[in-house]
Order: sequence, then structure tokens, then C-alpha cells
Amino acid sequence: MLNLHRCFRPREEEVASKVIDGEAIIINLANGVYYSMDKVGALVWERLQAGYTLDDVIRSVTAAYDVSPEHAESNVVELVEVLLQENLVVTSENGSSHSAEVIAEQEDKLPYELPKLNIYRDMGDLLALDPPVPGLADTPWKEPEDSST
Amino acid sequence: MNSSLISCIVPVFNGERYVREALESILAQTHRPLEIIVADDGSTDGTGAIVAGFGERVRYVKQSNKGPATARNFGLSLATGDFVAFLDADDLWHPEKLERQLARFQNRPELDYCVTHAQNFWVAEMAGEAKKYERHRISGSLPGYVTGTLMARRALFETVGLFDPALGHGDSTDWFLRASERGTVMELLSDVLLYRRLHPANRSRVRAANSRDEYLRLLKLSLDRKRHLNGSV
Repeated sequence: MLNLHRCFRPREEEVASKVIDGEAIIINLANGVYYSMDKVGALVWERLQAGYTLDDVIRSVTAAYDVSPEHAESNVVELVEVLLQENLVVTSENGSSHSAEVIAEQEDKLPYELPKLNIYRDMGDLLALDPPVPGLADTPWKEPEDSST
Repeated sequence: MNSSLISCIVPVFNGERYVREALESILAQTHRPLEIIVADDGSTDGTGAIVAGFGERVRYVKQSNKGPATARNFGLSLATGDFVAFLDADDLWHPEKLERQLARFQNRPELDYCVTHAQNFWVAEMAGEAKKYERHRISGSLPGYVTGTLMARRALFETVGLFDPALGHGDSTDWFLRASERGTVMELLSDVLLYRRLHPANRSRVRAANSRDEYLRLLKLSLDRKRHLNGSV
């Protein structure tokens, strides 16, 4: 079981993402696998990116969608476990708590849908030669690791 | 021996330093006949004069500076070969590139396009970086989904469309994504048939830092198109 007081932040050295028209598009630049999540999943991703604790991510979901806290917790935890397996997020020690005014209950809640990470492994080689690795000013590749791979 | 005409399109912008070597690597191809078209994207250096030195073997056309996608499209509009291939003016082909790729098309009539592995190499003044990355994956043979490895039936561009001039860095990625959505038949050769020169002015190096958002938008558009085709939206 994941610790609900922890944050799970996107692994920004190798993971690029953007929420476009309500859909989170995520690429693992190390292997070219890309992902999408819409609706609840996109909200979860945005909140993880913003540094919310898992607890606050779940509260954001129940505040916006018509879903019981127990149901949301079990679905969000399951989703974050998949994000960890796919190596898209890492556990971050420091959680910042977001108070009630940040996570305001919406009056007209949206119909809930199970959040799902769609995984696309079909174009894995597409970016192999030209990886758009984030945050590198001088070279478009990450620093070599100790072991050659 | 297959006598298909292959159009070789070389987009170039201020490429006086390396364009001669690029053209020589085309002329060194074991396959003939070739049609070589240099599409100059508004160079202000000595590119035109160097290309002129190749005489009638190379057709030289020039446009105002509009980017490599437009230059490739310009070259394509003039191409008359059954097949087309592209080489950036700072890169080099293996002498058997076209011959080996053409052989695949002969073996597989259903094949729409063929790409190959590529090998990066560093210019002498970047020896330090070459050393730094010598055991890194980018120094090895890599699958090259870039125009420099691409050989396609010319007719394929009528199905998949041209390169999108609105895209800065990702115009070739976008093309490969569109080709994939169309269910095209492709083959990736594991032979290294493109040598990609890394130098301080590399477009991809300059653009890499800014290209992330563009790739993410391309993937989003590709997913939207696929869902639309599948009727799920």
C-alpha cells in the first residue's frame, strides 16, 4: 500500500508530459514509449506534477467527480502503482499539503470514469536517434551512465 | 540489376562546409540511375557555388528561407523517380545505401518505405564530446526514423502527404507517425547506412531543448487521428 502522505512526482529527467485538451500525453524519452490519460487520469497527473500528496490528489478527484472517497482512493492508488511500474513517477519525500481552499468541492460534479493509463509501445524506436531530452542545454542527450548500455 | 530511377533530395541551408561530402556520398552510390536534387533553403554562403561545381550531375533549386520541411517538399515536387530518398547536407550515406534498400523493395513488392540504422559521428573540434559519449548508446548503431535513412515509393507521399512546414523540429517524426496511422508497410534495416554528423550548428542540437512540447503535441494529434479513424470519437 502506498503512503498517502507522500508525493509521486513525474521523473522529469526522462519523462516529458503535457496536458492538451484535457488529455495528459506522457513520453518516456529513454525508450520512446508514450502514454495517455484523460479525464480523471489527466487530473491525477496534473496534481502529481503540482506536487500534491497522494491524499490531496484523491481529494481533488472526489471534489471534482461524483465518486465516493473509498472508490477514488482505491482507483488512484492503483493508477499511481502503474505509473511507478512504468517508471514515470518517483516517490518524493516532501509532500506539500493543499488546504481546502485549493481543493474546492464543485457543486455540479462530473460523472466519474475509472482512470486508465493507455500505453503505446508501437513507436518505441521513433525517437531513438533524436531524443528530445528535457533540460539539457548543450547536448540533446542525458549524461552517460557508469555502465555502458 | 534493378534500373529504377531514385530521386535523391538534399535540403540545405548554409551548408558550404559539408555539402560537397554529402553529394559525393550520393555520387558514390553503387546504384544507378540517380536524380540528385539540391533544394537550397535560402543559403547566403557559398553553397550554390559548390553545388554548381557538380555540373549537370546535380540539379540545384533555391527557395527563400522557409525551413527544411518546405525544402524537402520543394525537392519532392520536382522529383521524377519511382523512389525518393533524402540526405541532409551535413550527413553521409553508405555507398550501398540505395542498392540495399532497393533490394528490399524488390523482395517485398508490398513495401511502402524502408529506413535503416544510423551512426552518429562527431566533427574533430568536438572530440571532447565524442570521448565523453563514446560508450553511450548514442555512439552506437541506432534505428533511424529520420529522413536521412528513408527511402520511399514516391507515390507514398500522395497517401501520407508531405512534410509539415509548420513544424520546427518534428516534421519527420510527424511524417512517420502519419505513415504508421495509414497502416503503411515498412522495414527497418539493421545495417548502418546513414552517418550522421554532429557539429556545433546541428539543427537538432539547437532545437532539442525546445522540441519536447512539439513532440507531445504531435503524439496528441496522432492519437486523435487514430481514434477518429477507428470511429471511437
